[in-house]
Amino acid sequence: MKKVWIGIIILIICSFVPVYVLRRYSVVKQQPPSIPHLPQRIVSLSLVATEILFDLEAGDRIVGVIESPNNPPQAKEKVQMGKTFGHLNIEMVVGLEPDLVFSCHEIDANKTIEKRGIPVFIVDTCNSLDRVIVLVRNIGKIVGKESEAEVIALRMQERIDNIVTRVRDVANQPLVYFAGLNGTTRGPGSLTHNLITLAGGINLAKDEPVPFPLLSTEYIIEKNPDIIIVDERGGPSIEEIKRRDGWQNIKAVKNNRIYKSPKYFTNYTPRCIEGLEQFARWFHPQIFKE
Amino acid sequence: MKAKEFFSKRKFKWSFILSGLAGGLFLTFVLALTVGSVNIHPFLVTKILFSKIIGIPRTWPASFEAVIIGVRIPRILLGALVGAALGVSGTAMQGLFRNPMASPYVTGVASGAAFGASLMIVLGIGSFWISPAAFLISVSTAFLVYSIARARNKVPVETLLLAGIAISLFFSALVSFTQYIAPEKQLRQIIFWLMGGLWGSNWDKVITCLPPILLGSVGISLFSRDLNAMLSGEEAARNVGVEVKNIRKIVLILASLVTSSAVAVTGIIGFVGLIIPHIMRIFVGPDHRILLPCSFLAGAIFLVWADILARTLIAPTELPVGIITAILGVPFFLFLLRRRKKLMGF
Amino acid sequence: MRLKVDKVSFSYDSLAALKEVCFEVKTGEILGIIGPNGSGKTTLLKCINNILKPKRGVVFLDELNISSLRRKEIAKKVGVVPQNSVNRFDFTVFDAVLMGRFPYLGRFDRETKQDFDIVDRALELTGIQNLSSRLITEISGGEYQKVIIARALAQEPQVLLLDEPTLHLDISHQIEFLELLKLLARNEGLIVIIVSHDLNLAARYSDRVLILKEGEIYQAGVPEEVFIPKHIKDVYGIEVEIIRSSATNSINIIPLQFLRQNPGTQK
Repeated sequence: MKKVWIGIIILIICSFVPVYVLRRYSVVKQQPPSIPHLPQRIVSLSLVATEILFDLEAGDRIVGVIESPNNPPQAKEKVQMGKTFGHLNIEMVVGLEPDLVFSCHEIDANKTIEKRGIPVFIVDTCNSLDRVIVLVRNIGKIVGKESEAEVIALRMQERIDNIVTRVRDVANQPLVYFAGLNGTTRGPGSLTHNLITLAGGINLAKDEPVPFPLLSTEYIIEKNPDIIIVDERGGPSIEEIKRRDGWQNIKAVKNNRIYKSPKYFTNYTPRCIEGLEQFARWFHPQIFKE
Repeated sequence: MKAKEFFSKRKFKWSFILSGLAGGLFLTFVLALTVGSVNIHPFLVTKILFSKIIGIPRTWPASFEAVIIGVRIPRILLGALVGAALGVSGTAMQGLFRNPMASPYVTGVASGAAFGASLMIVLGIGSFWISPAAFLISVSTAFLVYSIARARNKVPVETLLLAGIAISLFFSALVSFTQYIAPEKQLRQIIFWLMGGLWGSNWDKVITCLPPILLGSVGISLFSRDLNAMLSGEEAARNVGVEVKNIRKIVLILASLVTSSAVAVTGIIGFVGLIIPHIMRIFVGPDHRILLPCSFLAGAIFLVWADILARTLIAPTELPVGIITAILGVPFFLFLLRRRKKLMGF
Repeated sequence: MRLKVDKVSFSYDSLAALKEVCFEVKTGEILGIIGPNGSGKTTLLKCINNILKPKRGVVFLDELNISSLRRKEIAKKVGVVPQNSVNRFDFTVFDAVLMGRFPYLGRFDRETKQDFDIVDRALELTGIQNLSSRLITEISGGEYQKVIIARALAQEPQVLLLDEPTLHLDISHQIEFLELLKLLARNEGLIVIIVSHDLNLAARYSDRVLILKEGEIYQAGVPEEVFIPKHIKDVYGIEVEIIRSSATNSINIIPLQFLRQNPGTQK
């Protein structure tokens, strides 16, 4: 029996060691391909990147995009690569012979693409407005549209500053609960939290340790938020919230301050500034009377 | 008929079956290579393949070559390897536990592997370490399940399976937890990985899972006779000279090795490990010497086929392959069941 | 060839099942072990086979301590026909019997002509060659019992242990079975140890008999010495009449009446 056990251990070692050695010391240590100076054939697997690229007027250089109802209308002419929440076919991406691919964080497929000599730029998730601005500048730099990017970035900053200064000295900051998919809300580390705070509100979930926490109903009822924002993307409907047991006495429900937030309000593209502005209008209607 | 004659005849029959399956696998490869969302004519595919061996002047666009060599071939190979791994480990588990419901998932092995891998992803540790971590946790899970089920030096089969299901659910919950706390960066990664599929196939993954799956499968098949004897019961096996306790541990370790390597590269693909052994058992009988290699080949064929469907049915969007395996596998299995009342002797 | 059980004791947790059991069996001898339910008969068999390790005492096979041997080695010397063999898997009779060659085959070995010949011989001895290609799930209980013996014989054992082998057999098969055992003992020189509830068959076919009571040997000897009304009453708590059959020249035990109180506690 001892011989058998030794054999098994050798077998296990042989399963892992050769691969490790191969990886570590492979002679041709492939560097990931570098991003070209002025990419001409861009495939965008990131909805955010698609939108930003069109904003920067680099849309003509896009050859393929992920399908989405939120895409700018011009995107319809590009090759549709499938929906993000299905799986997208890498073959198609490679088949379009792009010289740059914008991707989200699915690392496996990115490697496959890179191995074919196609550079991949990963669109980092932005959990604050500052990061969104940085993203716009980065993408601008990559596609050689720095000046357009700067314009957008400066305009965004202007609008942010406008809101921030006006709500800075307000005494009453409303307590805000953001209702997302399946009862989740948004905590620190999420863009929505950043928007709520900058717009002069107090996020009910501001002390939670994770970005997408599940808050207990009791806690929400007890804290009695002044405003409820409902995520159009997957969140409950306004009527449904009004019908919930025990929620009728919440200030937000009694005073009918439940608002719907479309997806682009909280997505990390320049349009989220509209979200910021709308939040500010909901939170402090007196200040923002148009 | 004399014994020698009987066994020679059967050896011939078995060789025939295995060659048939191997041929089927080859044909499946060929079909899979010519099909995809990028339309490349089969003749061109052959030319591209041959150009890798002998030099032919390139008359096709570089992207075609990239698609075939860089995307399709690794994907098909990965599908075959993972399907084979699940087939073999499912067979080993069912034989070991003498229970038709045993599968890599029910015994907690796959869930442990999934947890190990997702833990590595959340912690952001390098991609090489995902497989060994999955294996270590997977093996620990197997032993945890084993020791929970042990009562007074005996390991009753039913308790083993109950413990396996419990631990399996526990690790599934842990995996959900890692999803819950994962920063958004890794969250997407885990979600896509958990959906289970050959979507992110690349040569790295093929190289990573090839040694453990092949070595592990060969290892398990070396214990075919022991598994056969154990089908008659622990005591009957001991009477014939099988060291049941040791063999159990070894087969569990090897099956964990094979399963965890598969799960670490493709996430959770269900049904293959449960159904393929039953289907093959109906065709070739319970003898592990033929059943294990057949499950290996049949598992490979099945998953590559499922993947062909997954990537062509609503191209360019892909369906998660787990859905295809369920839709294909379960009705076929039920049909076979009706035809043949006995299911693994139950 | 000699099997010696030397002061073997065994307990399940705190329950003492065997207490210092001693006996010896020679080549070609058939030993019958009888006793009431729970007296430790099956435990004793399992200790001989080293399935259970005795807490005290040793089992010797020709001066060799059985517990010092590995499972495979034991399997080459001791064959077992357990009480209930249920097999639900579609192996052929050939396959089932071939499993008896397991102890002789290394992990990388193929079966040789010799192995096949031994299988043939075992099938011949048990008289089931005509069933060899059939599936074991398609044969009768009695036939399956023979398959199990054939498998045990394929192990080329020196000792054959059988636990209630005739339980599910009809009367003609019972006799056939035991005649076969007698043949194996006399002609092949096997040591045969049978645990049985059937006192008459034990009396007829055993060379010697052992009565176990509460884990100890109550009485040992030839059937005529052991099977007397006093002993049966002590051990089983039942009145019997012993008669001798002129046809078989062996004794028969006829139960008369069940005594209400417990059997006598003295040995």
